[in-house]
Amino acid sequence: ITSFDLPGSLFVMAISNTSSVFTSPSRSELSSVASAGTIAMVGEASLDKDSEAVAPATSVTESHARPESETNIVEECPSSQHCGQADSRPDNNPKPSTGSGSQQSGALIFANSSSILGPQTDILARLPYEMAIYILRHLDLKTLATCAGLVSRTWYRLANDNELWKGLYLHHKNWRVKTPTLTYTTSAALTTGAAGVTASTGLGSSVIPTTSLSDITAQATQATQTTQTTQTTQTQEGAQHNTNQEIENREAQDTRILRYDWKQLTRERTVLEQRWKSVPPKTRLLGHTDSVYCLQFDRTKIVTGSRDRTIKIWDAKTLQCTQTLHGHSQSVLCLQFNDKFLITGSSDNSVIVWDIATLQPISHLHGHMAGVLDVCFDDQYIVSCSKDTTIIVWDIHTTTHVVTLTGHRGPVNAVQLHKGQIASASGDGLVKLWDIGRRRCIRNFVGHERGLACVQFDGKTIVSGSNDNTIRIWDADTGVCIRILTGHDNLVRTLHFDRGIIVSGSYDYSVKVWDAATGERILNLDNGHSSWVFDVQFSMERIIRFVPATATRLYVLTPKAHRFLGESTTVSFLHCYH
Amino acid sequence: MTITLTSLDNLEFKVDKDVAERSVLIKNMIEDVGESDSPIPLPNVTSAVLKKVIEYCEHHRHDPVPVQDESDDPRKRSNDIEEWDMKFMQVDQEMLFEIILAANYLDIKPLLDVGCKTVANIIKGKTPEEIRKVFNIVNDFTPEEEAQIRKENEWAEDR
Repeated sequence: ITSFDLPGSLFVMAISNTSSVFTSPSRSELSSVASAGTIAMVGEASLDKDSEAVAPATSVTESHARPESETNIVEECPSSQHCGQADSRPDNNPKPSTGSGSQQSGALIFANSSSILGPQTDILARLPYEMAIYILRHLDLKTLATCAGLVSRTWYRLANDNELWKGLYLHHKNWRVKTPTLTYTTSAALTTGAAGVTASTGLGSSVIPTTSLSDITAQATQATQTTQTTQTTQTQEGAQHNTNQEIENREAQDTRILRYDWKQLTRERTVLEQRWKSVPPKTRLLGHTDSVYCLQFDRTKIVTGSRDRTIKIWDAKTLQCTQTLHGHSQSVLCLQFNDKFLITGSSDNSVIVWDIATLQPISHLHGHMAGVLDVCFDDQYIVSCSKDTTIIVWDIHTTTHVVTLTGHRGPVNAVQLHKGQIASASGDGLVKLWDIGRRRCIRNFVGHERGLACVQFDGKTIVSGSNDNTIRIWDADTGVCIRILTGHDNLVRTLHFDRGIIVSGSYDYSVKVWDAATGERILNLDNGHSSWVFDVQFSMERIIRFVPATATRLYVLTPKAHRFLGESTTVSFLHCYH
Repeated sequence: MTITLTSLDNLEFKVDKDVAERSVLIKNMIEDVGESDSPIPLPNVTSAVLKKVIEYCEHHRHDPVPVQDESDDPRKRSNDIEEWDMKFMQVDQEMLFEIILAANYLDIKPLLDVGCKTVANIIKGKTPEEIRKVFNIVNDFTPEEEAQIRKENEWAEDR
């Protein structure tokens, strides 16, 4: 299965087969997702609760006498609740609320960390900026985002400090930032305070410094929705804030450090993770009359190939089938498309090259003696592999046969092409690396104990999935097996490897996400699957988690609740089979 | 060996050298000045605060010197404050504030940490309104701003 590398989007789509009937998402599931969108007015709720708990004291107890010689260091309060509850007057005599057991010893009662007494003062606001930040660094994400930032404007600025969020982000296990390619604005723009550093990171829009408070009232749209070329709105208020911005701008200029909006990154990452864990299928694309065997998608369309011999094109937004292509005389087993071609392989032993724009067939490639199990192409070559144990390389421009590569002793289930080299995975248990120029196999990767179903290759690393339930990571140059990922309980049927992350789909009904560098399993998507996962694909930004279930149905999971979900609940069922 | 420290308000405090040297600032001063009887002036610290700081240093005089690690995640470092320190920090907010400033000025990292953790612990578990009450802060947001900020941070709510 070829990977479609879309910088800036994280979709996971997986398909499978089964003849079991899929149960549609229950009302409660739908509604639980919907409710994720409501604003949780936590603050108010608990405040009310609190007010009930603490009844104002009826008697006022005088503070105990303090030694006259000392300054007002320690004060006493007979209560165990926070004093000053009823009103916020700064007060040398703390108002006691209902309390049990006033301590006569002279020591303060320190219950719930909430009974600091005496003259109250906005410690955070009075401390030097860096020290206030240092205090905030002790807070967890939720408190920082939902409580600290809401206290006052000053606290808002502190709680949104970029370095603070950087620390939060980077200390989160599993979260890393890949340094993307940068485009810089001119230094003139930087010095005027417009930090327009853009980057094509996986998480597209998070590279701009946070806006200031005045933007919130000034703009209708959410401040966090940044565009790629923004300016920071430097306001005159909050000189502290400006200074830090300037320092950061200068830093970016001097050291060419990429400036991220770390809070935005954290937000996106958090939401991504939440979404991974949620929801059953929300959308069903019905239309094929038999098992869907392969798919690929990009931002605008989903292309599927089926046992019903057709290829269908679906609009990614409306989820309507826009085209059905006929051409193969048997099941469509594999496909890949780019902005020029769509190439499909079939049980009818042939490969068809289609023009992606017109969806007209350009060429039929014959050469295999058995079903074409996988196909892959780039600017130069088309590579197909077959049950007949061979791999055939075709020239993409002339669509003529270049070479037939033999060597595998079993069906070749998957191939991937990268700059003149091919990685193949076969039922014979081997991964082979082939060099097209040299027309031969240059390396074998030995280790799997059973047949291989899938392979991914980026030029340096090979990832393979096997019937032995494991995933192996190999160094392409040396042939050494770097790591073995265990966790699946059944055949690892499909893989997608991109930017250090591996997504695997298995006949054990689950989709798992791994960190390639550490071998750690990051996520496990187990719910919602009721069948073998046939195909998995992802790229980095939005999550569409895709659960397949029945023979003819493709499920597109869309945890992107705020938009897609709303539409998908009214998706039309195009065709119902048996 | 005893060191004399003079506070802002000109009160003198005699402390043992090893106690005084819990403050990296004082330690460096002693090294620079050499063995001398002249008192070390601390013009940024009032006597009340200095008294507390000395109390802390005396109790912790035998502690191992903390290893500086900026990249540490403060959240990860044990969030429990030991019992003595907890009692020690049961002071009013003004004093808490002063202690933090003094610990920073005098470069006594463990005391700074305890002070900051104490404040952080006050903040934890509280709603914004409760935080305001504790610290006597005026809510200077407009309702629209508040609503906007809440919305912005919805994503963090479900954790």
